[in-house]
Amino acid sequence: MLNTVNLEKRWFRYKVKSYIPHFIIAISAISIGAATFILLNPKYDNYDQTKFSEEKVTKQEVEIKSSPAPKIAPPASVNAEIVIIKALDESADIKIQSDEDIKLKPSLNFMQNMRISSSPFYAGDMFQKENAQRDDKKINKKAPKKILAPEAKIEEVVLNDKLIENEIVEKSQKKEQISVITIDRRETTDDIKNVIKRFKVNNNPALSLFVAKKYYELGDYAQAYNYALITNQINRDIEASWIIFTKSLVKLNKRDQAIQTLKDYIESSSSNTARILLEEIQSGKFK
Amino acid sequence: MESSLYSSSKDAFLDIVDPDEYVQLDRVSTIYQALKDSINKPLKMILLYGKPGTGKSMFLTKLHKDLSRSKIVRLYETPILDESEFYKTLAQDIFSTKYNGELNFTQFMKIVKTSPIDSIPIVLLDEAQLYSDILMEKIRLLSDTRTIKFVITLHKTEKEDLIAKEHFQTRIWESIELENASATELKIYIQKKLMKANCFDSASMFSGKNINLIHKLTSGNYRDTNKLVYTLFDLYETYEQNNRLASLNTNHISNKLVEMSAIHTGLINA
Repeated sequence: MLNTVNLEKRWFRYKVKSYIPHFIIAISAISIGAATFILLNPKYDNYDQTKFSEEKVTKQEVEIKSSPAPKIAPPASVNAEIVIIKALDESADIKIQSDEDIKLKPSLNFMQNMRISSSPFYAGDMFQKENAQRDDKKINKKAPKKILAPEAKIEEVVLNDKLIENEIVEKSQKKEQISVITIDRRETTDDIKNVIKRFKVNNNPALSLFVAKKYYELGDYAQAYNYALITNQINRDIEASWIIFTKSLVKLNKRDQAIQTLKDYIESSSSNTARILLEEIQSGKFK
Repeated sequence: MESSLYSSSKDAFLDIVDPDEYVQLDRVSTIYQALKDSINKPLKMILLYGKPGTGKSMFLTKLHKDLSRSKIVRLYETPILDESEFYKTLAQDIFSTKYNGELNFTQFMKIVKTSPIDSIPIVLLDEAQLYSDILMEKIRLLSDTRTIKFVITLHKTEKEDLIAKEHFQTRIWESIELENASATELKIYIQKKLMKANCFDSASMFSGKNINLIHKLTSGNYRDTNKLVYTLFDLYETYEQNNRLASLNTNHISNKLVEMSAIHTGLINA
């Protein structure tokens, strides 16, 4: 008599073994199918390309060429020398090698590039400290008229084109290595760019004040400070410009300098707005 | 009774060479008729070859049975390896001459020439690949004298092919190859076997799927098929005795049991 129990066990093992190749083939077929589906499906395509482009983004080339800096004619009332503002030109070439599918995130990196080229005051920590010290001295000694003393610094800061270009290249290279460069498509920045372009053409202090206000709204207090200062250089009687100037100083942790500047300005202009702001700063309401 | 059904079905597939159990299939019948025709021709030697289990022995047995009525036919299923013994056996069986002592080829030829026989005797040698080269050469010489006609069977392997080439290539006038059965032939073979044993119920249990599986497992080899189907009905009988037949569908042969039979007989390595 046959041992059916043992035979059944052996048969079960045999069936399991015989199904293994089918199972493997089925899994392989499903995997291939899934892979094909993912490759052919545009949804997943975007996902993959985005993922892939993230690696590429680190290697994006950013070339910034500065156009010849426009000269801002000093107002008759200000004994300032020729000031050259090297700002990011609208015609600056920005070459970004990336796929169209890159998700563009709002960023102020673009503005930082602008700052590098245009900001003589807050380009670096050391530079900022020196400026702050000099500003303090000049503002303390002179009337509001003399508050414009930092313009002398502007003159010093205006370096020759080559030096600035080198600096830009170095910084942009560092940024290429460290961070992902994204393009802002915010309308505000577009507005600012347009206004800066127009400002370079006609040196209208209203435009530079507009830029200062916009930068202040965007939280770029250094640029707000710069453009407020430029506005003051062109026309020292614009109250709003002084307000933005001092507010920016406070935001840049230069509270004492802001208070002193406001005091000097109030002396010469008796501005109520400036007085209210001074009180707010002193009381700590405005930080 | 179902128990006798499975038991008798099982016995139908016992691996024995019995000419009464010979199953006539169309292709095999054609070959058999060709072989019978060849024997009537003045051929020196007929070679029957094929893989083990293709029915060569059954063929020879059937031929022996059919021809023994009208001709002098001797069938040697097991080889006689000693040369002297071989001659002595032939002298006694064909020419009724008992010879004491050693008998060599020359002495045997003398016996053949002096014996008064009307028709040429036919000697059927099964498993001829087991004969020594020297003895095979003597068999060739004997067939050349046209005093004895030999029908020999060989296993078709590379080695046996070589033997066939060396010894018989120029002398064999007829060579017949036996092949494994096709699935259709196998179905007929199984069903005819069962019906011969009056197991009509079990013959109707085989479906096309069963036959295909059996053919896949046995490659149409008759010997393997016999072993497999024998074990299959043995399993059915065991299930019945263990009162487990209810778990099986008795209207059709279970492929599971076919595979279990194949595992038991070694056709499946599990």
